[in-house]
Amino acid sequence: MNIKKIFSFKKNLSNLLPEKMILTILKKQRYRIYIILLLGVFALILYRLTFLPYFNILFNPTIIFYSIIFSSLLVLQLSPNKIIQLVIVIFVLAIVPTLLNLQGILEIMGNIAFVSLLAAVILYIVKMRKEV
Amino acid sequence: MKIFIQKHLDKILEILFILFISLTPLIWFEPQKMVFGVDSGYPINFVDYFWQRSFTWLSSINFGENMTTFMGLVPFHGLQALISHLGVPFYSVEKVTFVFWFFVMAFSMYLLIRYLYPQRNFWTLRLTTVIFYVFNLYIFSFWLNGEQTTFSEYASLPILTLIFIKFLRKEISPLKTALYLNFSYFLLSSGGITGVPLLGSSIITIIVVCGLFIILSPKKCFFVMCKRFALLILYAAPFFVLFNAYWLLPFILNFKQQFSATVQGNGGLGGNISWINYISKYTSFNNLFRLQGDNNWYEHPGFYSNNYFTNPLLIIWSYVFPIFSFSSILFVKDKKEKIIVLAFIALSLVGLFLSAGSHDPFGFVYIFMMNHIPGFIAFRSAYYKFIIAVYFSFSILFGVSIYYFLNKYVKGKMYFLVWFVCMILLLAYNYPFFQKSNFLFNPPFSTMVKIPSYIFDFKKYDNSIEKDYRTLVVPSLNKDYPLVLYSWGYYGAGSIFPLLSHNTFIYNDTGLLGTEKALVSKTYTFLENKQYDQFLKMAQVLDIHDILLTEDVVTNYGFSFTDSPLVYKNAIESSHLFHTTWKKGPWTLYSLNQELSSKISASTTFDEYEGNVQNLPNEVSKTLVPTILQNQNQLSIPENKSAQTVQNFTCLSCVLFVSNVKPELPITYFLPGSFIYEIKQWKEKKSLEKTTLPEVRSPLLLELSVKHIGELSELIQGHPQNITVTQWQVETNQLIDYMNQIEDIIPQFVSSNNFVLLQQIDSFVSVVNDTTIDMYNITHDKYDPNLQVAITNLLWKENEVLSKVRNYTNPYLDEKAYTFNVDVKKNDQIFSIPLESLPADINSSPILPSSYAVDTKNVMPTISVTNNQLFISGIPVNSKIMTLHFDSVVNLAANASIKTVSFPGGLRDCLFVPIANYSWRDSYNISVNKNVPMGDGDVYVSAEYPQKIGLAETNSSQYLRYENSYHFSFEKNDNKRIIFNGNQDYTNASVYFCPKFPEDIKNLASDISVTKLTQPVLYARSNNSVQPDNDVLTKIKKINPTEYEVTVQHANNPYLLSFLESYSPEWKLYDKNNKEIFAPHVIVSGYANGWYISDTKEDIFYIRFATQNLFVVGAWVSCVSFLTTIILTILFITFKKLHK
Repeated sequence: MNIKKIFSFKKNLSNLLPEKMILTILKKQRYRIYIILLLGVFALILYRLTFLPYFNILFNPTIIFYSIIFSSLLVLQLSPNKIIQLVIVIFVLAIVPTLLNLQGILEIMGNIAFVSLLAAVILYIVKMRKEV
Repeated sequence: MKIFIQKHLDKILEILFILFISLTPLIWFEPQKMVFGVDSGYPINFVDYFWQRSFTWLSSINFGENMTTFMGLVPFHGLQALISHLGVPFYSVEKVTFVFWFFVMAFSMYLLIRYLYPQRNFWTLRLTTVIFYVFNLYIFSFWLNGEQTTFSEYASLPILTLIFIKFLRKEISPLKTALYLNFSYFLLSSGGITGVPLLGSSIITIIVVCGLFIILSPKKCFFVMCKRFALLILYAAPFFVLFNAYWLLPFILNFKQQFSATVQGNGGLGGNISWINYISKYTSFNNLFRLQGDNNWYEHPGFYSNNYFTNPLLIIWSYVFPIFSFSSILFVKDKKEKIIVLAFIALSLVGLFLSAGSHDPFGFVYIFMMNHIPGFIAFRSAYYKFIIAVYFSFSILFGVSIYYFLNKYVKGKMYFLVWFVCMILLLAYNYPFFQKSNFLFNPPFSTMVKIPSYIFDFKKYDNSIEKDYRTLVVPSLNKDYPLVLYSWGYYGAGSIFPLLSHNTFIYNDTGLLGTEKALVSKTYTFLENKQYDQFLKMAQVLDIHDILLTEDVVTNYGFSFTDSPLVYKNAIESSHLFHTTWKKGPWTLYSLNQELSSKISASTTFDEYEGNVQNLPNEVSKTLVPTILQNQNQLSIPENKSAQTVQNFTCLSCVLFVSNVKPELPITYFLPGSFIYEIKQWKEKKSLEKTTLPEVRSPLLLELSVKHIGELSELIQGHPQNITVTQWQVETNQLIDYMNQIEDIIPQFVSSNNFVLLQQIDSFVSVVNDTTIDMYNITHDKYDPNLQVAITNLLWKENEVLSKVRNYTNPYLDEKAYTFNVDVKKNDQIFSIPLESLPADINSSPILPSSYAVDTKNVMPTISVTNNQLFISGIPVNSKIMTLHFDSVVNLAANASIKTVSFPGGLRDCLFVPIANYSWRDSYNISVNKNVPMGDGDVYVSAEYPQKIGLAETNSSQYLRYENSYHFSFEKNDNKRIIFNGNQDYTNASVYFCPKFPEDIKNLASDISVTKLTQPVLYARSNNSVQPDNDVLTKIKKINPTEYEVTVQHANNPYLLSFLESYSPEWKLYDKNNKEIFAPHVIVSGYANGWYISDTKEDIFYIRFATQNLFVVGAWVSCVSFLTTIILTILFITFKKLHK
């Protein structure tokens, strides 16, 4: 994968996401994209393995899912403030499924909020530790 | 003064505000009512109860209870005793206690937040934090019971955090920190060792706060910090030991037996895991973020919590807590402040993680910690122990956010108004705080009750008499769910009597276990059935002199149905044995007309009993001399000293009546074809090679068989497209091999009468067989025909194994034979069976055994029937096994009729068998013979029950209950049999056999059986020539509940000194010189203490409960060290000021 390919990828995504954000991520943080892609592939392999007879339920897909979100947030090193804002958005959005009593969605939203907050706290600590 | 007020005006106003909100509990109390029942534990007699609890033995509960582990709770009872002693009226003691704890919690949080945000302009932040901390639904649930241990932990958390932050910021020295920590723990300890689980939140708070400060400190400070921590531990440890000696000393001595007893009492590790799963059912992160997830909130109709699930405003508001709390870090700019906020966010996340307990997705980590971290099992109620940390951190974070939010967006005069509205909204969300109705948690039961005047009168009467005997409370409670329920609103698992009197009362509540439960239960039955002679003997054994009839009990509560008081009233009043001593309202106290012996007695004659303790009450009720249990102590009584030795033999075949738990197919990780499977097989082979003993090999073979059938099932059902010949061949061959090996072992178990393992083979092979039948159906006409053949062969083999086992066990299951493990040592041993334990014919007359076999040979013993006993003599010496055979068993289903029954799914034709003379005390053996060719069907048992009250009853309109639904299938080869035990409220039970196809009814009629389950009780007696010496006299003097002085006179021969308090190794015997006497300490009458005294020269003894002395010493050490430290600290501070 080279830079050109990433930029063509960028063009497609730019229709969906704000231009500035994409550029920031792709130009300055491209190595993080590689890692996230690798994590994704790794997750897919693990997830697939869970359906193979030899491994059956050796790996818990739920844990893999939340680990990937957690690792991605750490690897991306989004500003922890941004993660907190994201979590607040999750909480606001969660009001609707709560009113509709959609427990499955709420479980997932709660878990994502938890792992995101955990990532934010770690990033805050890392940031503050650097300043010491 | 004026300057002082001006200088501290903000502090004074804020403290006045805290004082004002601390009066909130006064809203809850109605005139002449108090919090009483459920888990509250508040006494009716404050000073007296404090006196009782200042002893390590609580004698007012049944047969007494070892309170050594609970001595940390003494200060809580002391607080109410002090308030009461100061002259506060009875109903106001709780009000003062509640206001006190409310203030302590609020003030403790205020101290912390005042330290973190001392400037005047932060007043809204401080007050918001305090309000959030004391007005929330977590702490409210504890206010409903007034649980002081939780309040103390809740109050101590901010103080401990404050001390640690000051220490970490180097504002106080390690010595001062150690002192402050111990002062606060001493004053706000959560109940000594029993409160340790409550300290979960404090522990994680300290770890998180210290951890974060250490991480964010410069590297060079690390070693300084380590040194300070080392010094802190060095200083804190001795202070901790000295200040807490009053509970620490007795606890250390008692640690091993108490800890294991507590873990076992909770059902062992398995029981604790089930509990954590139950507690964590609703602790999803989403619920926890919204400060919900309390298990009591859900599936609780009529509870205030339901509004929080349905009201949109409350749902939206619940999200405001996490949104505001976590956004606090976005508001703060100052670095020092940011660290504080970050620390509390981190704490809230750790708290959330642990509060979630075993809930997905990270629940497995919690279970792992419970399994592997020593002592972590104490945190089995994860939510209740760790959510405090979340509330604590949210209080501060919420306060910070509100302050900055208002400062940013609201200016000028509106600031106060908007803050005020925010606080009103916060309080509105916690609206249950301002309702009285929430104490009525399960109408008509409430934790806020008015205690009737007759109870106060009884308290006054009973406490005025020093009774050294027990009072039996009637009616008895429910045998399965013994709840204590009174018509005036009391609801609790514990009895009210220890809370109102120091005299001893007996009742069959949850505190009674084992033999004690059997003894009390038998006593109730004797009284109920007007068997006065036996009742008197039991009264003697249990030291009962009085009976208290309580006619205000609720007898028809949901699952806790009890006997009617009128049954007992009739039994008592129709006998000349009792006279009325006291009566007021629905309570009547009766006393026995005849004198019984006292709590401590000496007897040269006694019996020895060996065998099942559940049958001991039958024996105890027959004899007038003490009965001791054999082999209970290292120091045993010399042989042939007892007048009679009674052996109760174990019925080996009766284990078949206890339903065996069927194994579940295990989760398969690796299947044939994988290289890892080869390793697995190799391991399996190795483990089988190691085991040669049939008793060990058989369970292993069964376990492996279930594993392999699970794998085969996974292969066929989970991955049908991938299955290869090699894969299924491995499994089927292996299974057939294992079945062959099991078949070879069966004759050995038959010859050794090992019914436990035979039953295990039946249940395991049944599961394997069921799964194989499923495989047969799936593969039929679809897969490789060879696979079909292999499965058929396997089925054939499994059926062969099952029929071999059942050929042997079925006569026992059909109650036609009973095998006992006997041990005939002497020629003069006489065997006896109570006639009531034998099967009965249609006229309720006992059916005698038709033949007897000893060690597989038929014998013809001499039999006779006298005194309702069947006596058997002439059993050869050294016999080991005895079998009783019966020709006929009364089949209640012989007169079955066809009845159309309406089920939720529609009408069904069933065979209807009414159980004649049904009694809930009996069990019934219901079976269907599988050999009759027919289709599938179901078995139901119905029973009538009276109208119920309370939340526990959800279907009160229908007074007919169908249960024990059992599906039988022709093609399945399980043992089609159920044992039915009815609930205490059941009457007129009937059995319905409902075949799937109505035409099968005729076939079914000849092959069903309903029999009353009977288990003969076999005894053997042998007499020794011991001369009774009835002139031994004892005089006793009770010094306190843990110490008695006994004088024994005229003892010429060795004797047994009985002391009728519950047996505990801590009860010890001392001579007049205070030297411990090492006499054999045995269990008397199945529950009490007894010492076999051979040295008849000794005439004065002291019986003491050993841990009491340690408590007294510890209490002195605690008080003296605490006061000395306080005085020294004050002197030091004064000296320092003067020096300055």
